[in-house]
Amino acid sequence: MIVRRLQKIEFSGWKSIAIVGLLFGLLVFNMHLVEPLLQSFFPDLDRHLYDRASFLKLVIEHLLLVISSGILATLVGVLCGILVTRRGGRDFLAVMNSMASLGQTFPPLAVLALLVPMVGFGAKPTIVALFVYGLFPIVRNTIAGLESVPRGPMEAAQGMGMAPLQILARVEMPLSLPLIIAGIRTSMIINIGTATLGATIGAGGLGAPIVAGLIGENPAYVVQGAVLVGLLAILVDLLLGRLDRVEKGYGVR
Amino acid sequence: MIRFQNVTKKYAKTVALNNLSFEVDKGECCVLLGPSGCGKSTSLKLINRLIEPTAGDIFVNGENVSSVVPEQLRRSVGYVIQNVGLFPHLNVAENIATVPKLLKWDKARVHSRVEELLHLFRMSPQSYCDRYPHQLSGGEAQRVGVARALAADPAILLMDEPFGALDPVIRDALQAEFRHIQQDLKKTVVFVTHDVDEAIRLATKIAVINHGEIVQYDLVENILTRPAHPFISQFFGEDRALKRLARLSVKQFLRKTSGEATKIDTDSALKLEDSGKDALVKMIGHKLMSVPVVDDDSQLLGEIHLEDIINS
Repeated sequence: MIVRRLQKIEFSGWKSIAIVGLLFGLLVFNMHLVEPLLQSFFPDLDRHLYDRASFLKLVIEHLLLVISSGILATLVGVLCGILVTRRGGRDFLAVMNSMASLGQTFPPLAVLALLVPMVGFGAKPTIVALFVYGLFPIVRNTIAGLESVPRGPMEAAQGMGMAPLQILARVEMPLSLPLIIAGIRTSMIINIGTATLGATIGAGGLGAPIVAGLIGENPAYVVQGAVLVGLLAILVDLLLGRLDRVEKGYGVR
Repeated sequence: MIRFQNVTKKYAKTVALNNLSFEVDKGECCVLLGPSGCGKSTSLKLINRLIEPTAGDIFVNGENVSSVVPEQLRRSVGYVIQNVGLFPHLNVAENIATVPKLLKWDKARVHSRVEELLHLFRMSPQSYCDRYPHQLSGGEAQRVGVARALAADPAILLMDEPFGALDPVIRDALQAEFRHIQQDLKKTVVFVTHDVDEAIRLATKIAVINHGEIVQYDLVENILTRPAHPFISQFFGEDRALKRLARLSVKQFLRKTSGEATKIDTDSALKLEDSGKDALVKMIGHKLMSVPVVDDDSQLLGEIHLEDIINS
């Protein structure tokens, strides 16, 4: 019952993507439109609009951080997931699972603190921290996806003379793709939020107004950064959700 | 065509197959029959090297399979499994084309082969090519499964309880269809089942396996009339005489009538394609000692007598 009700509420289809996208675009290019609103909420502040960088620039910086770490995490995560489900790598399955989850329990802020002395300030340590943090959902879902491939097709593929790599490419990967994409989606969403931390070490992005607001005791700045991060997360989630659904198009039972 | 020579397979402590030796000739349908866990499925998988023997050799076409690259071997041998194993993300045409694609056939050749096979199984390519496995009924899916195994026209077909998961009516239809197709194609078939009726219906020879050993390997007729071991009489059941009758055609018992053709119209009449069992059923049902046999135009051909059936 509850699930069914939730599904009704859930945003669906391209319509919701268009609405969220439009709202996001409107705020990125015309943040001054909400200045009166911010003034009424925070009447005591001198300045209400964050103007140290254009929001477009911040969004691009933010996306670059998330996407570059996301690509890295996807490549490494999927590869690890594949390796530990092969005959030779199965012994490492448990280790890989716990290592990946360890990566996520490790606070990203701590990773940043450790990395800055090694690689300096800016985007580099942020990308590494996001990579570590986003690895777990991808590894976990890749393993779950590959393990969930039904026995029948696997046996048939082997019996018809496919080599192990052909089975992987033609049967296992296509059948586990929906789960892998779901993992990438989770990873990306988490990291869109987490990437705001990069602003503390000069990586820019949508964390910049939040950090500036916290330091300068300007909640209006924080709100602008936070709202954009939130909308971006929803937008990316919806878009990747569509991809997920397209993948499921063939309708595995 | 296929020869097992002193093949033994051991797992840890248990012996799955013990010193198996038998031979399947070209064009025969050899059914490996036995209770579950007797090693019949293991024997089948030894042929395409999905399982490797502990000792002994298997020859296909005179060549020891252990000297052939497993993938190469498997592409030259058709393989059908019980849970069908169609690829759920590929449509019917792509599923059937699996082995031809592995063998790098050109597109046109693959395409015409797919259509040919669908026609063979009386499925119209227009309506089936683009369907996905979940859009097929159980019987249709298994037809596609068999078509896929036949795609590269292998001389040998291995079938591991292919009709086991189907309901009786559809299983019956598929068995009949398989028999029909086999009559044309004359593949060398190794067929695993635990279903006695299926074995009797489809086999040229039956190898009855129990506890990893062949109890009897012989023509179906011989196994039914001269079981070599109490286990076989028990496994085939008391009604094995009836099962044997089901395999025999009324043609074998027909006493032809001489003289001019007469048209008769009675529901006690048999057709030429009926079996000895059908004849017996008619006799009991109509309380007759003999029943007439007619052709498709209801022209009287002859009679079947009970005594001939009993003495057969």
